[in-house]
Amino acid sequence: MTRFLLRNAVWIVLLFTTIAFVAVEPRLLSVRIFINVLEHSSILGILVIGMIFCLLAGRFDLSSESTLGFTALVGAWMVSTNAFFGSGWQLPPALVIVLMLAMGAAVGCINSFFIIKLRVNAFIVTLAMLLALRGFTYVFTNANTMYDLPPSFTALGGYSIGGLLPVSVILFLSLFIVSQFVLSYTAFGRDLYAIGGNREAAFAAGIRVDRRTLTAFVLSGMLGALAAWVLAGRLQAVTINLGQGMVFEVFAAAVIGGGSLAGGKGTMMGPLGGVLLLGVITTGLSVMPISSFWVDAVRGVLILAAVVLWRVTEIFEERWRTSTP
Amino acid sequence: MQAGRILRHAAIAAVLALGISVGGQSASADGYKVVYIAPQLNNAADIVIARNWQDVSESLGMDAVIKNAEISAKREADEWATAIALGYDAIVGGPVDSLAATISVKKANEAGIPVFMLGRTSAGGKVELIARADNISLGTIAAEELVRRIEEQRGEIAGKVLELHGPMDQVNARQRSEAIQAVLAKHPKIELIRKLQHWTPEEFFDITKSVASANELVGITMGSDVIPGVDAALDSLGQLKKIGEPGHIVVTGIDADPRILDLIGNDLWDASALQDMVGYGTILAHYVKHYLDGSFKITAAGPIDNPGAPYHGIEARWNEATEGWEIQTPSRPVDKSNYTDPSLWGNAIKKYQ
Repeated sequence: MTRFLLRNAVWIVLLFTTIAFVAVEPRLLSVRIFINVLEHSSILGILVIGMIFCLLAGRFDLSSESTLGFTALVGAWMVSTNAFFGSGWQLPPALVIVLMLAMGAAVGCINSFFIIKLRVNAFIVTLAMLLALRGFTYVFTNANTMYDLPPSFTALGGYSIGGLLPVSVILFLSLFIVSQFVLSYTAFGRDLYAIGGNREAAFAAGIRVDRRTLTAFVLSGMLGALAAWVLAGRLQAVTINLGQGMVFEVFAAAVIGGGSLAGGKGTMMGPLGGVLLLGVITTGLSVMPISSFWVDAVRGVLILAAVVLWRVTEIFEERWRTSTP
Repeated sequence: MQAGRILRHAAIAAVLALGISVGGQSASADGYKVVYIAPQLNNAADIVIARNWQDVSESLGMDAVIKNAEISAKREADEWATAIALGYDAIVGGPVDSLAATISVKKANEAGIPVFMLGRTSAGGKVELIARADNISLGTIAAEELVRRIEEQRGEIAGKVLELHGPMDQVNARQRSEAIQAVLAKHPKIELIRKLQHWTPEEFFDITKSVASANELVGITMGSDVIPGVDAALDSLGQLKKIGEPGHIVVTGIDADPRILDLIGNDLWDASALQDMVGYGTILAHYVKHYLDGSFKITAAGPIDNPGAPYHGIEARWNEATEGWEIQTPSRPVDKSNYTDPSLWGNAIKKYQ
């Protein structure tokens, strides 16, 4: 029982946080708000999945927010029907989506090249990529907002089944389930744990460390592009600063959910709890009649409290594990 | 091993070459050399402020350069230090942080370089002219248009209104928000829901959707409509109705972004308070030229019908503010009646595409 509680600490925190918010603001207890939390979490969730793949392999990917921003803006530029701010090409949305995913994969490949072949630290490489992509986004679009996006392009992020359940929510939850399956039941998933746990030992055991690492970064890039597509559809417009600062929330959700920055540890379900916890906090504070001045402070304190609680449960789990014969 | 080393060196060489080629650009026009150190160049409004100032300055024969502080006070101080070292004839600023910029302004003063400000100003140092929008006027018009249209639609000024305001440490955000609150406070049946955002579309969308889900809103207003998200959030809730349709939520903004002009044209956005950045940038560029020529210098408050009067059609006055001489271009409402006006910056920007 203790072990179960410790391993699912993030869900317990999520439950108590939700109860506390609802007790203070009863209007939060509605289907619509619940759906809002899931929708709010969907973009962050998709990025977190990519980050977890990299973290499990013992690497960082700081560039995912810029991959999102860059691919969203370039994609919107190619598909926009606006005579002044679009490219004028008005490419078919299906083609643009494929190109966006290809751009995301290319970002992952470039990151991997520097990390694997040139052995440059992943933190530095992906930080440089974050800055470079943000810069290219400026150059590419002259800092304009892209809009007039065709409905078929915005459907994934903007369409709701029955006017209530956004398709993006189904996509994001499905991706978590599939990703957890990949981690638990495929050679790729098991290899990532082995690589993150001990890279040299994994190599000695015959695991193709470089190829698995490349795949993790390519997946992270493609998920960044997928998040871009969803977000562009939701907002029906794309700005130059789209996704800016999201990397902090991505890390927070991953760590709250039990992901280890050292690699080789964690699941997809824990970070899903972390993503939903951040979604509850953000949506709850939006609805509550709390002074605007307090929102950032309260959000920061709540996130810090969640991380500390997670760390405490981890310490207990370590002690419990070492004391058990 | 050898191949890896070669690749590493090649990559470093490529990065250095790129840096040299980008950093090696220089302007070559004759005349006064002036620089505008922009606080940021990450949105249409700041792009228009910078590009219009540059265009007008160059049309007057000046060599006008734009630098970007990227919303970093440190980066801004570095750009100012470089500009002072290069000996520009004039520096035009738009501080990221008004207090932090004071040191840079004083250094420019000591170096004998005249300083002008565009859009916002420093807390200290000698500034020859500040050209900016009247933020109080912007907030007042956004709120008055909101109230008037709520009354037109519902027969009374009552109900819940969402205000998306920016961080209060930004003078522009604070003044606009205070003006909005001052107008709405006159209507006791209006319940104002104020929400802080940091000018990101994700926040505009999420906050609007959350608040509109839990409350029956009659109106929404905001510190800037350059940021998208509000209309998409209402659309996702099925609450984006055309003006005149039952259940239409009145929406007003500030700035009159090009995207908003299109929404106004489609009856999906009620009104916006115009920030006349083309107007005040044009006036400043001319004043810098006059100042450097020694042909005109402000000595008294009054309308800007001074020598040359190249600012035809721009209504503004010289005023003496606490920070120095200033001109504030007044705002005016933009709605269905005038959204195609080519003098609006949201339409003027199209020439830069």
